[in-house]
Amino acid sequence: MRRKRVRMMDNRMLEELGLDPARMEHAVQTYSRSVGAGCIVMDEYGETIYEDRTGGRCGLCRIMQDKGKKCVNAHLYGNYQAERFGGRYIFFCPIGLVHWVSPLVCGSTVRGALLGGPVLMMEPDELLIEEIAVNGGFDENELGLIEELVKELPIVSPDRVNDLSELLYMVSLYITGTGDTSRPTIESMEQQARISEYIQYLKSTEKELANARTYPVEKEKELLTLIALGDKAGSQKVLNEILGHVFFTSGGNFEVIRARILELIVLLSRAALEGGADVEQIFGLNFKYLSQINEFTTVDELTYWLSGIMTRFTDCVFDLKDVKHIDVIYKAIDYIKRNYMKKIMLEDVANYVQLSPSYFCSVFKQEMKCNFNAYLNRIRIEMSKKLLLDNDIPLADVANLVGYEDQSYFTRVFRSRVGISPGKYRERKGQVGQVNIRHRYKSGQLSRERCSNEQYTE
Amino acid sequence: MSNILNEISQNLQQGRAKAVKELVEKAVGEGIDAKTILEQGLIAGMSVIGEKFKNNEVYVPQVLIAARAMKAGTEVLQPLLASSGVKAKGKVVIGTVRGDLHDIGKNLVKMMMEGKGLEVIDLGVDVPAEKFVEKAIEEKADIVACSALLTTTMTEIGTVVDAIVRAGIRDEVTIMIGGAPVTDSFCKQIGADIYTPDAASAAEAAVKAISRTA
Repeated sequence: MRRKRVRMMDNRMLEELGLDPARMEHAVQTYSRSVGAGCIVMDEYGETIYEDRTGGRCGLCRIMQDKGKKCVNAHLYGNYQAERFGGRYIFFCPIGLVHWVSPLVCGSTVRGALLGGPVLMMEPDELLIEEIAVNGGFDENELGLIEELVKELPIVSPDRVNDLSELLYMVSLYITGTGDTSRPTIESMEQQARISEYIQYLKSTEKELANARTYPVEKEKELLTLIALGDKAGSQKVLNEILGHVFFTSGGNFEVIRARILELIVLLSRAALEGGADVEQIFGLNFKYLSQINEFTTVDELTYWLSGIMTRFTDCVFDLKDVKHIDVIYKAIDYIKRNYMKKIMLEDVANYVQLSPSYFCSVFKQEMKCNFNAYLNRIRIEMSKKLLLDNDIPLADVANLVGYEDQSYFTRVFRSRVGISPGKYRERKGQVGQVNIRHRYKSGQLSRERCSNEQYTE
Repeated sequence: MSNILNEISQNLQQGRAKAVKELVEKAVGEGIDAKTILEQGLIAGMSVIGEKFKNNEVYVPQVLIAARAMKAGTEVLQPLLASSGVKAKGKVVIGTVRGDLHDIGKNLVKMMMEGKGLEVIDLGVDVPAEKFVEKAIEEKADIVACSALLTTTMTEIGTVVDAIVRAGIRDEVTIMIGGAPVTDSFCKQIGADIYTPDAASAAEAAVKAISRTA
């Protein structure tokens, strides 16, 4: 027996909820027809307010309802999870059928939900029938009936279920006429997952517990290098590891974590400055951020906020917005970063970006505020610092590995940029100390230039 | 022997609950130790899925069906795990804290504890702090065990500890905690009693705690 298509709620009530009935009907029907799976709209209490042509919730669901068992609660619970976890949620209903749900959010209030399914992800077997019978409170003589109803269900591969859920989420946005607001939630969740993994990794290496408990200074250095080079993906990864460490050692104490994050902000801003970001801009941002930090009350808010700040700082390193020849500069930098370990001539890069060497030279200098060779040296020296911290790499090889044929030339450039020789740098495990900062002020590297130190350009 | 364990792992990854169940039964029939089947077959397969999920190679639905296959397999092993080892007497209230839906780890702990002869009352996932307290009082539990798999939900364990203190039963229960982001220093920080890194050591620690108080 087929039920009427729309019956539970009249159009006026839908409109009061902020939903356009025609738009909703159109979207739900199109979705259900095209994907070949059921789809209903339920209100915030789980009541069906609209159903596709297949007649709404599944046959088993209806039988169970007659037995006094309610699938609705599971559906509502799924919707509650979807609301919290980025707008979509896939779940097994109480009798093990696959559903997916996306909330209908008008303004900031949940008005209801779209429920997709039921489907199966595998051919039904007796195990499934048995499960349904037990969990649904069916009698033994109803097994045949269950089998019959289950046979009608579409079988959809897990990959496709994931896609169907994504698509239903898009439909929900269309119906409510809102944009995708779940991005931050999802990104924040992903970040937390990475942090959590790193903590677990630390735990698995617990034999070196003493090691794990000391703050990873080398990680911090790596982070600063990556930021100064404008590497967003790399810096995000290392930041998550540092945060993992902070969580691990602080035991989740919010005050302690906040203090560490405060330190990190200051550190990140210095790295951006070293990378050549504008001093006024960075200090302005810093001021803003430091006054914001007290507004947060949870660790995950705080960490997501911090990764946003890092992206902002990394952007400042090469503010490509202001660059006129953005394509050329971007491609050239990319080429250099991929090939610094080989011999690179100005001509190679000019050729790569399809400009004459002399024109490229002037464009690069104009946009980057330093000439091509100075920039190349900077990248190579930063990379060599990392290699120097690894004692397994012979000193003599480091120069070669970052693209210098002549080791004494490398040593000269290194000393001029860093303030000490490569050998000293390795000896002190990267602790450059006061000498460096004084030296760099003198040589003008901490000025507003994007990259300085042109005395070693050929 | 490793062949069949590998087969269990493979089928589990594809979510073939029935095949996993049958293979586990077969492995038991071949005389393979239940703990070995659990660790090298079921848990090994689940770890592969976990890793793939992390790398975006599989999505939630695959994890769901793999977990279902895992459940089918562990149900076969449960009585075997329970029959081995020394029996201890005691009651444990266990659950995954509010906001957290991950229950594979918690289910393993439950199984291992039951294997040690403890009576385990499973509150399921997404359990509010009050519920832990309510059940602990009602069941006169010796241990309250909380699990959290996310950095965002682990602080909720602290809420459970606070609720237990407020209810005035702090001296009557031992609080055990676990989960990927949870550490020993976190355990001390929130004032819980025992942190264990895996299911087997959780069961052992529980038995030890109960024999101490008894």
